[in-house]
Amino acid sequence: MKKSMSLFHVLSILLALSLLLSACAQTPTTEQPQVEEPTAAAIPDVIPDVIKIGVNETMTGWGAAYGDMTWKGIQLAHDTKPTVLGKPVELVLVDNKSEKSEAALAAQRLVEVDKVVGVVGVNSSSMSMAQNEVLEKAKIPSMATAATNPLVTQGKLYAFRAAFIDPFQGQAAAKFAVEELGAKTAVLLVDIALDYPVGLANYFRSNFIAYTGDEKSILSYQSFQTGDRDFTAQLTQIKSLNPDIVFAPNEYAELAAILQQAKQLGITATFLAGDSADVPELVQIAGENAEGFMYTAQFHPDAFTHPEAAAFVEAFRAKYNIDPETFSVTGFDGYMLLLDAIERAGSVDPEKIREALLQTKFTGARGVTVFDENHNGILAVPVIEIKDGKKVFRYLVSPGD
Amino acid sequence: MFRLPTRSTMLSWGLAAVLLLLAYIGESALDDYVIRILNMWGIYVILVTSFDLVYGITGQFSLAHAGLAAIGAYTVSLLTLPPDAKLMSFLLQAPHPLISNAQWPLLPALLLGGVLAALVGFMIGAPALRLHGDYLLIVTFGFSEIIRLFLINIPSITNGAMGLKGVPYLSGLRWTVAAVILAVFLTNRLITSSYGRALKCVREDEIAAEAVGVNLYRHKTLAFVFSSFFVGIAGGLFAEILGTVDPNTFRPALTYAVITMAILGGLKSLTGGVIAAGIYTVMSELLRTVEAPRMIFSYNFPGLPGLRQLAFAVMLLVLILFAQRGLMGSNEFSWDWLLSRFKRPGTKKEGGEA
Repeated sequence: MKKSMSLFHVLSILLALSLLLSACAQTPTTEQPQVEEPTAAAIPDVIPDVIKIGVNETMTGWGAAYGDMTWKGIQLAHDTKPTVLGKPVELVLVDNKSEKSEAALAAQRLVEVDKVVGVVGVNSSSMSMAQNEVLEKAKIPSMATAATNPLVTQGKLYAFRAAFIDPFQGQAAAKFAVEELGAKTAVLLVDIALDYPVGLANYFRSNFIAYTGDEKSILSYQSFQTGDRDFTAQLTQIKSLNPDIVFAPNEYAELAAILQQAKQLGITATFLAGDSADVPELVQIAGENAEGFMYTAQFHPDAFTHPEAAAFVEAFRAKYNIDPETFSVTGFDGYMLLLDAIERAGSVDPEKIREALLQTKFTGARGVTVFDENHNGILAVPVIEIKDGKKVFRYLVSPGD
Repeated sequence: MFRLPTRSTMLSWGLAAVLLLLAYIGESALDDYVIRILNMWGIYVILVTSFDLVYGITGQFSLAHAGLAAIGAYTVSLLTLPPDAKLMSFLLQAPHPLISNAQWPLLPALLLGGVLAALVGFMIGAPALRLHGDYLLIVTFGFSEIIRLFLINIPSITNGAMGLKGVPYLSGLRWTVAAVILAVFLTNRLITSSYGRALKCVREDEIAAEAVGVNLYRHKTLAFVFSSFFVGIAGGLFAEILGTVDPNTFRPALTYAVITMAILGGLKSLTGGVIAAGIYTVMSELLRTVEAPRMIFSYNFPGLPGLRQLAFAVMLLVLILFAQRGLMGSNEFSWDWLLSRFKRPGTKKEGGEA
């Protein structure tokens, strides 16, 4: 009897806790006055009083830095364009803890509980894939942000993305290396535990061979695992091979350690990476070792000079006091592209939004954005170089080059 | 020889039938969000039950859960993926002919997933279970990571780190509930059999167990392989529900989540595992409201992602303060207990398996 009494204590505490949590009334994210819950959302052609856009992002876990920057971009986009079809837009942010199963749960919650019209996110490919399995079934249009793996939108009717994909990014990096830097040989240094480095390195390899016309131009494929901190074995071998380029499209934590150890070993080859390197933490950790390091990115303020880009950069600097980069620009454009499609569809019917998305010709922060047949953004790739601890725009690879 | 089943047995069969019926109705009556949460609950119940059997009952601390679940998940994904989907998503290397044309129905795929996991479980357990305590823990942890590395390094079969996507959703709540009933029922039968008593004996004192004629190694391996089978099944269902798998889904964090649930529920109690898995999955979704922006005493509190985990941690602390041996300790739900409760009014019941 005594034992079960303590169990009831626990249960009652749990109950009290949950009551306490639900007691505080929820308010919408936006500054708009509180509006009644839209009941008409289920009927497609009736436009609800509040248009809800879901944001599924990696706000905690290993991807927290990326999620935070993406959310910054989305919030700025929401400030810039807070209404669509004459109705206020409400952003519903759900955190997916940077886990695949959580990303699927969060997406399902957006569909069933929040009844969103569309979803912006996730910045990571593996989580976007889990999310899109859910959203495809629910027929909700999604706009992945910085996810660049081709599998994210492949074969999906409602999945789009506000970014270029790795086949093009790999091509751009190879083109830049061969045509601008005059590289003849390269070594790949790849984190084989993650989809992003593996995929991007694969596309770089085939394109580098095509551009140099030399089957043997890739001297070696060096691999390591996420979480490794000692790269001296791989780097010593790279030093003896003496390549022109080391292509290392890894996450920033590993990349910073690689750059540091490469400097210590006296490797003079140019280190090249992909858009996952576009976070301020990289230069913070690597310090002066990052000097001369280059990477392809989704955005650089100097790469795009049309008025929309200038307005975006100015607004971003005013709001956050930092420069926008890959993740915030894809968040910003992702929201804008989705809202533009809703506007042109004149409806929240997913079928009509999808039709409108296919016809997209929207001038965002990165110029006129259109989608290819697999719903991927056709966008230019800026190459950035770290000079004196600053990100300097170096080269632009336009689509069709 | 025919014996009339006892009241408890009949009630258990009744409960299983009712649960299956509810799952069947629930598939059309509930929304997909609730179904997904219930599915996750079921999968975690299977994982926790199999952990309880190995650690709580047999006393062998194993950290191999994530790796074994990956075996089941990959087997089911590869066997149920349509051949053209495989061709499309294998970007690194063409799929191996062994798997490129395979397309099986769900049941044999799931069973093969379980069998393969059991086989790998045997391969891990056979050498590792000769070790004790911390050494066993390290070896099983290592094996679990080896499985993950293996998956990363055979791209012609697993598509490497890119993972698989578009796994057709052939299962459903029915499948999960059926698997849960089977796992809990069979594990419970094993525990209450003479094997189970031998396993408990091994846990309490290995020397004494050996002295009374229990073959230590055989019994430990039996428990480990038995639990591996169900971990494989759970992994397969997990892949079905996610629709996409990659090696990083099966990091040690998955094992830690299972251990958290097992400890929360009481390591020696299957009922506790069922309840704790429910608390873990349902609460972590309910607690999402904590992260949403809200008004607290006229102060506009902006949403703060991550607060959910904090609230969850506090909840765990409170629970552990009040129930040091987990929610249920080593108590099990029994029908006799429930029926005796009904004789006195004003008490509350908690559902669970018999």
